[in-house]
Amino acid sequence: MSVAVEGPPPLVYSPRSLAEALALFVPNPQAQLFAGGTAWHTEHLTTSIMLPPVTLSLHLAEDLRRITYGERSLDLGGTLSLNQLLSVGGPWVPSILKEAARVIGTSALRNLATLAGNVCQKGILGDLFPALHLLGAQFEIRNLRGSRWLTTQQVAEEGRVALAPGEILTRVRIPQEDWPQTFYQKIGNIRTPWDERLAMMGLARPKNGQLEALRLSFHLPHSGLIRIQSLEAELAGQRLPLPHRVRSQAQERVDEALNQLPVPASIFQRDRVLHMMRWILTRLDDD
Amino acid sequence: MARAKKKSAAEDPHFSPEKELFHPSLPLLLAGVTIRSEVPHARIVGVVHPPLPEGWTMVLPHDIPGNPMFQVLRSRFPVLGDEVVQYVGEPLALVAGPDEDEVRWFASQVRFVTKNLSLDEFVEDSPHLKRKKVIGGDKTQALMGVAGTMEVEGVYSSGPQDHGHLDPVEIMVQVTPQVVGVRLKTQWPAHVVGSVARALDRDPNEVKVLGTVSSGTANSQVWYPSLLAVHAALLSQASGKPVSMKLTKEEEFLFSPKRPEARTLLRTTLAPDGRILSLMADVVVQTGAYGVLDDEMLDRTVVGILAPYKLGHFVVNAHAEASHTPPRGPVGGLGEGLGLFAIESHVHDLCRALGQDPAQWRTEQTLTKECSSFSGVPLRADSPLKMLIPQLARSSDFSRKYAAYELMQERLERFQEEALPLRGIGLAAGFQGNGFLAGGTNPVNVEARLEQDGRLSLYIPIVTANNRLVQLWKESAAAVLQIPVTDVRICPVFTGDHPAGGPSISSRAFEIVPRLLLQTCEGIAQKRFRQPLPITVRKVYRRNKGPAWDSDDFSGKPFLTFSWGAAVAEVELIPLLAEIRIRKISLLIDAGPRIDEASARNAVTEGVQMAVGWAITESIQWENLTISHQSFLRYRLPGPRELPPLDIQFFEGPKETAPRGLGSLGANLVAPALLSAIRQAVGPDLKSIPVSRKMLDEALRYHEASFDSER
Amino acid sequence: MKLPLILNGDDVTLDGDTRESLFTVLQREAGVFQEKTNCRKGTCGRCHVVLDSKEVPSCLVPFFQVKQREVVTPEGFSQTDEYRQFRLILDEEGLVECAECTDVQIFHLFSYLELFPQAGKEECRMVIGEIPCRCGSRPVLERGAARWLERKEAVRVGRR
Repeated sequence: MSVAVEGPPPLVYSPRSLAEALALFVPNPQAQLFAGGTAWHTEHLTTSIMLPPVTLSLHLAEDLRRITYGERSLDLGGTLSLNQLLSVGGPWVPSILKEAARVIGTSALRNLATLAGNVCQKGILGDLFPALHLLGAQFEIRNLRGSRWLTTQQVAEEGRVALAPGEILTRVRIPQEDWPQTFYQKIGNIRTPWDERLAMMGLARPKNGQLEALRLSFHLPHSGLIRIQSLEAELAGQRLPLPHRVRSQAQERVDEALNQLPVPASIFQRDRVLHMMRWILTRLDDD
Repeated sequence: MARAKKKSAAEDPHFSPEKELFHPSLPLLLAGVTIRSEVPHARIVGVVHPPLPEGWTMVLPHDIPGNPMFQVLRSRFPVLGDEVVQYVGEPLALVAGPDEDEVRWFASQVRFVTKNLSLDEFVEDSPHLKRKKVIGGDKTQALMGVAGTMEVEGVYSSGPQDHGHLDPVEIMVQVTPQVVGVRLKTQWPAHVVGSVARALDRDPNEVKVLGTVSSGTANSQVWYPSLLAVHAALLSQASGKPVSMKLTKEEEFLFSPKRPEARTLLRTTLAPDGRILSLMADVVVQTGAYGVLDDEMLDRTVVGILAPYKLGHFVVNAHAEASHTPPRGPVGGLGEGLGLFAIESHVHDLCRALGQDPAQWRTEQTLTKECSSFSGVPLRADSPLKMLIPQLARSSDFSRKYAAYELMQERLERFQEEALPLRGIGLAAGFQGNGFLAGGTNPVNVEARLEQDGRLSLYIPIVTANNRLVQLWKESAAAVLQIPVTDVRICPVFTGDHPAGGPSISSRAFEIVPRLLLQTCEGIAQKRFRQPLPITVRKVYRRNKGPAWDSDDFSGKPFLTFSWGAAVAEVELIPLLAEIRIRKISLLIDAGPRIDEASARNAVTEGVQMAVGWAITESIQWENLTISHQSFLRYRLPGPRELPPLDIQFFEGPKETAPRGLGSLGANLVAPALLSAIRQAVGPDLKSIPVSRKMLDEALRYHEASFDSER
Repeated sequence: MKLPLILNGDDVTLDGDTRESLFTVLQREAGVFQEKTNCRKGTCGRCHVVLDSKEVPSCLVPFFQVKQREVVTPEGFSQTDEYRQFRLILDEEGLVECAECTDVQIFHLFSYLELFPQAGKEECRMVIGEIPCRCGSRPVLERGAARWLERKEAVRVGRR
């Protein structure tokens, strides 16, 4: 039998629960996690599945796919597939997160791709993180000794979810807040040159002729995330529709932020970001 | 070499497609791999490789027993690169062994030692530039223009395109002393037969090609499968075993023929009423290494420019430019689409300069029966475009929308503030030429055999996946002989007895086969009950001698038949996303009666999708004379956002009896119509395809800047 | 590594390596996906299977994950009544079969409708568009999908 791989076959464990998975880290501290496997493989064309020497495959751990509905938050299991996320009915899952998930790959791919996989593999450059960031999500990280929570702010500063050996991202907690207006636009996909790709998302809460709250971010693969929380704070409380002067100043702030990106945005990305900024600010309206 | 007496393909006892000759699990099947050049242009001085394991086979150029040159019509190039490499990826050697992965590893270790060419060698071996100059009327007036008239000039470019099929490429060959069996997907089985026979120095009657179904009718791998078949056959002959050769997807994308890039400068002078008084064209068509089919493609490109409209004086300087990149091929057509793209895009500029409605201008300027064609052939009737264009313009509401969208351009402030979509509508007219210019005289034959068990075997020189056509052929044959349809089978076996099998892309076979099929079945019906079974009847179609095409003179009738059409494309540009959305595409086609309406629509739809990809989504970048890896990863066929509702209508004249080809019409017409629509929406300076988001962004910035300056 | 699984309704045991994809093992061991290639990125749709009622690209599924699970391939689905009924509709709409994608498209569409039964015509259009192909069958598939949805709705309304 011909197999297009070399070397001894990897050791693969398929734990049936989180507890079992964590216990397996004891004899195998360097074991690596395998969820859907899509984020890695869609960028590397191989005829075989590239596995590390010791693999923990989480496909049988049902407790890592649970959805828990709380009073003020929604908990999504780390290995929930994107289609499972999209199948959650009602208003529980914010539409902006569903929009971000819906444009990832094909529907078949979304049956494999997982929430944690997208967040851990791609970090802040992944499609889901910007939406989670805007929503103020938190990530539960567990190991044998206990658990810790990471905020998206911490992840944004780090650039990624840093999992130490023996840790698993088990839950994503999303606060349940009311955002009457949501904005989501994505340009391009994995086949688009990086300098022609970006996404924009926004959450707005207009009330009684005022902008009660606004969250806004732009996501440029290769360049990073633009979110100016100080600008969001300044715009909160403004009367609607926003005056021209306010809109212009907001655009200038975004323009400055573009200039400060570690990897400069392309002309195309810059143009689109400014266009989208202008577009959103003119669309904020009273409920 | 003396030829064996011709036997009917149906009588050959040595070969039967039903035999498990090419079963994938055939024991002793070797896996073959092509070893390719890693440099674009150098002299080969030697080869270094690991020791060849026992039971493996390697073939180098000097091992080719027959003719080492591969031939496609008048083009010739080495089966395996021998002295001087001409492009990265050029096949230089072949290797076969029991395990594909091990063979690929071995192939990766083979090194061809090369040295740079000397300056003299370099100059002598420079990629050639095939030139053609076509003059009509007064050359000076054509070049200098007519004084005191309006002059319009533009440069129009089109990019390369991949055939886009995801079928795996796998060729299986078994060479025995009696027969050479080849199993592959091909549009041109006769060419496979001839190529394999020539390279192996075998009688073509000993080469049997089992054509498996290829994908649709637009698979434009016309000659490339034959080259792969030759490679596999060489390995099988050398090893004495059956050989399977597969191309990886990347290998296929990087090295299989692409649609040629083209760049055309057009300069016309116009009378106030819109007549073209003079036309000067400078065309460059990139044909890649060896200039394969350059004559055909160049001539057809020029025909595409000159054929549709009345012209005064004209000069066309056309160049087929070979280069140190993989050979290009007839993807999406054999060349007239390149010329039509240029002239139709230029007509967009003419109409803007004149302030005329594009439908009206075209209707007035197409040829009438008082005219002669550009090649001097008198017309016996008005060009079909004279009727097709106004009819399509009416049904698509073209003129009203065109005028309305022109007005939209004057209301830029709304666009900027509200980011409303910009709209455009474009029209293009043109044709598809049926039959090769260079080789249109081959006969087409169909053979039918009524077996002893009462079943009917049909040997038809086309390989098609079109289930409906196949069913129609079976039903018409069954009806003549009054046998059940289930007793009729199509035999996709091709031998030297069928020299004119394909390529299907040239469409002649689709026009002629139904007639021949009926004749063969009627022939059997006459002999039935009078002669013992089996009964075999063969009918041959030979082209009537008529005006031939003189490529040197550019005179005569270029094609056996023309199919004509017009297309309207309506688009919307979303400024926020710098994205084109196609709202609707309408076509009106005159290609004679349809054998099967659904098949005709399917073929046109394929062409339209090809055009959308060519114009918008499919992009190939070259890096160091090879296709970039990123191009391979990112190559994208049009998706649902780019494929709008289609309105396809057919026109049929009252006296028409024979269908004509229409597989390339969609591609030929829709690409320039789309570009015209995009240009109306966003800006006149877009003159090349594919139109990328960056290009749209730049055009939008220009839009805004001109708005800001007006304010 | 020999793993038992249910393939198109039959209990089978397939032999594969830990690092092999399900696609590779099915192609080699079970004769499935003959004359099919795939992009190895999960985007071309040619290797899709339904794994425990969820459609997945088998080129990205490690073989070791399918132990004692149920796999349905397009070949298996083509033996069902649903497939036959839908093919009849497509034939009426004028389908010219594409050797590359017809069965794959039908399989993909029906797998999607299994997961998202409320999908409408526009959504189905997008789903059909997820399988790239050069062939001209897309408009026919879209019309066929629209008719199928209408028929489902008529049955549902009839039941009420």
